[in-house]
Amino acid sequence: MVTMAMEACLATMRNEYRASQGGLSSLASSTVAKVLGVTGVGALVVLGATERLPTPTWGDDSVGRRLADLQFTTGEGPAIDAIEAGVAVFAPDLADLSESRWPVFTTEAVALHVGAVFALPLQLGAIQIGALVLHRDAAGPLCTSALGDAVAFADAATSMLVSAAAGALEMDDDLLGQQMVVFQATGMISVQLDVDLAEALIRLRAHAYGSDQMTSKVAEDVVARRLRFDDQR
Amino acid sequence: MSDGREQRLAEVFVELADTLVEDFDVIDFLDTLTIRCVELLAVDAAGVTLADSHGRLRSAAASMERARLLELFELQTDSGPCVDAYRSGVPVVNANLRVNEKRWPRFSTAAREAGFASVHALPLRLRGQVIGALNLFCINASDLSEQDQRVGQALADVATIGILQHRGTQQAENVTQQLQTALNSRLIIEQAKGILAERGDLTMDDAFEAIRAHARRTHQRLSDLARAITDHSSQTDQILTNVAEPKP
Repeated sequence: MVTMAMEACLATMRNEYRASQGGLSSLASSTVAKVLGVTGVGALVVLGATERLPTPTWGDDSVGRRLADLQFTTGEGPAIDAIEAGVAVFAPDLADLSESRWPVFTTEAVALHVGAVFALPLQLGAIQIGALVLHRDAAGPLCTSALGDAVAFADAATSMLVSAAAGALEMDDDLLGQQMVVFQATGMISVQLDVDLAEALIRLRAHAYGSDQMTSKVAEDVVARRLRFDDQR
Repeated sequence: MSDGREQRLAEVFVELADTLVEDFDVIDFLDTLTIRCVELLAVDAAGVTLADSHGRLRSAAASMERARLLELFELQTDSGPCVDAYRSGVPVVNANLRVNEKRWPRFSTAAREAGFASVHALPLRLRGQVIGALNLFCINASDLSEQDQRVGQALADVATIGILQHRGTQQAENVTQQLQTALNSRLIIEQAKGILAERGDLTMDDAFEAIRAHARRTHQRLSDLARAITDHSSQTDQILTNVAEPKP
């Protein structure tokens, strides 16, 4: 379940997106961190990144920025693992001696007085978009309500990143809804255009936006074989 | 209960317990469970919906992949038997769709159009929390016997255990995260179905059957095979060959 404070954050995000298409950058990461009860929050994004390296794209606190850069340069850390495996990766106590999954990352993070790191994947089925990374000075687990909020924020960030990549002026809340047909159509379009699933989804979203339809409506046409994407070049 | 049915019931619970080994596939498990629901209970279709981070119910498994059945789950975003069972934690049983027209207007109309006359929804309960619902559909407006209601709830409880037993490859041992992982696995299967349907000119139902059959034949987890298909590895040709020439 999502707290009222997070709902307010998500509403701001939608409005800001409409106003500027600025993607995540239009939202202050300190505001989100405060709602989640952590020291800082940021994101590494693979979607559209060169050589598919998770690139730090969001987060304005200096420690979070350093943690993101560190993962980008060393290629190790919770965000990298979360993107690889498509599941959340939590390190609630970095100073714990048994925490040896990421030797370079952990040493640096502890030196920066980071107690805990939580990475959540930004994904749509098999499409890896990036990871949301929360860090906190104090060690310890993330409370249930903060986790619910973090997952909701990760969902919204995913929709925003895909919409931005598709050049759409509105975020598509429907994208992550329960419309199976969107995911089926994405698979079909990836074969029709011989592109990966991420690209196929962006093309589907762009087509929906360009023709002023719901993404799910266009997806239905694709699955019913009324619309092909390789016909329209 | 007849001896034959009792025997079958025991077999199903043994089968489901056997599935809960280390590294089992949660979507495969839930799909099997919904198929067994139809077999054991006086119902014609079954599905499992799970709550996402917003508390919205999303479809995780169904006894048949028919698009119309999936739609019936998708329609229940804010009103429907599953939502009622999920929010109250109390089973909704023997709900005649004609009688409940006003209670769930959109859902009742769609479910009746799909050929169903009554529905049941059993909550997936975990101590004080409800994580989703088991939805049962009937073509005839007959009531579910008390025996069936008890067996149905037992199956719903087994589904809950299965979902919570399931771990990702890393250790985010939290219900919210586990539900999220399970729902994402379902999306990967849908993407894989799309790829195969396009490659082999198949319906979504046939694409799913082909993936499931190939996973069984080659002893792979359904989710692993689906992921391999989305990675565009060579397996699609093999799967499609088997569709074209069914082996005895």
